[in-house]
Amino acid sequence: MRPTHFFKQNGTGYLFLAPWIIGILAFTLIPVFASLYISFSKYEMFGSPVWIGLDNYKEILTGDEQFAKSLGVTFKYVLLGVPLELAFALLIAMMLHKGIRGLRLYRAIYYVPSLFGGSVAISLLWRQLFGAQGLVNQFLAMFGIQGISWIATPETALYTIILLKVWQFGSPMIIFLAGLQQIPNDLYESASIDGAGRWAKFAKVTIPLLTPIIFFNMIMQIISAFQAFTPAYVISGGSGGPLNSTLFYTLYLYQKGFVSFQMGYASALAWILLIIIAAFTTLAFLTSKKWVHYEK
Amino acid sequence: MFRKGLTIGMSALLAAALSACGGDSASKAGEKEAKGGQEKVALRFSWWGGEARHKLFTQMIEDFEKKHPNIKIEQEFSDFDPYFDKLATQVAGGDPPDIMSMHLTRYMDYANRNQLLPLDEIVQSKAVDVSDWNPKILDLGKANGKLVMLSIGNSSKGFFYNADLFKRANVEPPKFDITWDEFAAKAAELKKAVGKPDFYFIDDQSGIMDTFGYFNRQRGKDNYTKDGKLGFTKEDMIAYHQYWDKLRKDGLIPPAPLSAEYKGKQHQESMLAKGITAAVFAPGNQMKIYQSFMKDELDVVREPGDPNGKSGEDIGGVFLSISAKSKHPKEAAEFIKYFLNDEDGVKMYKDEQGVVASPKSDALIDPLRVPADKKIAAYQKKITPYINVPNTAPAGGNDINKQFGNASEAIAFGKKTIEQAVNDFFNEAGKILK
Repeated sequence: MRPTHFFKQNGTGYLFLAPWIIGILAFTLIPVFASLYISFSKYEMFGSPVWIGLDNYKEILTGDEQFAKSLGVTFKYVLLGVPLELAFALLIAMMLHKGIRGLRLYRAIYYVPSLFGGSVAISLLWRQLFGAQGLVNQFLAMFGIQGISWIATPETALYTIILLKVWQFGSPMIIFLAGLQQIPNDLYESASIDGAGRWAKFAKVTIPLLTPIIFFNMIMQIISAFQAFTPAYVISGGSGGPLNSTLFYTLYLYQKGFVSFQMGYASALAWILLIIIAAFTTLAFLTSKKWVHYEK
Repeated sequence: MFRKGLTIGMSALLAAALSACGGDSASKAGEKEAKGGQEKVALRFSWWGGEARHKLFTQMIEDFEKKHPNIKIEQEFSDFDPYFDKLATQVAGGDPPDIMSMHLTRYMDYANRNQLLPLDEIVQSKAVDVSDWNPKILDLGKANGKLVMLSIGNSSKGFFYNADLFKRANVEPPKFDITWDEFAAKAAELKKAVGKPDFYFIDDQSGIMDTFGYFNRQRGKDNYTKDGKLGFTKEDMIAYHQYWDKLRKDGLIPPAPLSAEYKGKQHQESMLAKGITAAVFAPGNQMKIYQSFMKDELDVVREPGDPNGKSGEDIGGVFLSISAKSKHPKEAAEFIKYFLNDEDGVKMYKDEQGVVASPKSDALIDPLRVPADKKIAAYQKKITPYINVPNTAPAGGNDINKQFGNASEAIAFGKKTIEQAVNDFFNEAGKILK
């Protein structure tokens, strides 16, 4: 095919595609492959990368305590935060689904935390809430309980951030709500006729029919939870402290890159994170055959 | 199918997102370079600090631009820590500011990677006149034999204490040359006199590498050697921690959670300003800042010392350097000249970031000093004979600082013994500095 002919036929199409093609090249594909290359090199930001093969990966996987620590923190965050958030989202969605008056308004109100959720402002607010003199302790003091500084105690700091995650239940809630509205009412009616109570209806009708939605929400939330950064950065003042108890994987990666200037090492960390997320997602897909129920 | 979940999910999300992002049309203010007869040059100037400094620099820049109609200065600023995070990113991305504020603890990271323009010629040709400077201060700005930054204000650290609080508690204030033992005794005396369990003498210094540097230099050592290795031994670090650990156990410095909560807070929110502590170790130029957030009057003496040892004082301050990538180094030098040689510039800037190096400028500033400035200028002069120029931190110094802080936290929270924490620190430092 001669080029002029090719462009006459398809030129307009490619022209319309150009913004997307340029975008994905400049902002996704090229950076992705650059970071893959850098992950195999020693690159201290200002010079040029020097190829060192697998050394970065070797060091991360064998001799890096902080890597193990940050992985532990992140797993805890994902494995506790995501199920709690989803449960909470489902609970609120069920309550809103009851067909109360002003549903649209409530839906919007409950969605608001999700909009602000990961922002710096909310993280700062969280820091105030859970500080030694914070609102939470003032509330506890009314019952004569002397609270600790929740964000500055290694045993509790991570849980304040998990709580922040749960509080951002808005977007899974909206999706659950949409899912609940898809469940045909006659199923509940026939369940009632069969003598099912509220709990049985929930367990035998709602949950099975919602499994595709639960599955979808779970995957989305797992992926985003692994990438959580802002809350940990702000609440710990960028340190991941106290005692590395909030050293999220992304925060560690950031520190390696932008505090220690070890870009090669940081890139290797990023690729390991990608592999971990991919593994979790694959695992979820593989097990989904066992528990996700699709309507025929 | 997964697809059903996906469709419902996506459409619901999309609906929510659409309703949310209605007004998000961030109009990026296009930089219009007015092309008149003369070529208009835009320079980026970056610095760290707060609101008051922003006002000052805005004024200075207005004056500078009036005198140099072809140059336009854009400010980029943030707090100290984020400042260097941002600068590192900009430099790595090949988009550094033309004029950068620099610090002795950080500049080697940039100088070693040839990111700072050598200024020797500018100084020799007197394009910027530093001929009346103390050569010691000029030398501070050298890296690998080349001058890469110029001081715009120097300050040594001091031990600031709340003088009114001492008066109220009826405790004799610390003397000018206080020893470590006297310091601990003073702390106990004041705590007893104040009589509040949640009052402490000073914030926990055990994780602050700068203060440790004083301790090391008093022992004839330093934080780093000339060739960029650790300049102290495990025994030094253990002794340092034992000192602070005792103060912690005696309730004279805050417990670990309180320290963690106040970590990284600025002057206004500091324990000193809030009356939780009575003292702080800080660079001289910050006295005015602390003072502006406090009713009680502050006073300053030397940081504690070793009666049989050497002096620990170092010198800090702020330096200006020009990016090696700057397209307009001449104009950038012109801006630095405004700080150092222009009479109006000098008078406006005063001691903002420390006492200036030029005696000529100092004479211009002296009549303009407020009491807190006078106190510090006098302190800086009094302390000059004690000053050392510490070996600069090698690349990786930031990482070492962080590890040093980690060791202190681990001890304070009781997770490691002092010996364990120190051993771990040396292991980590060895990896970083290899």
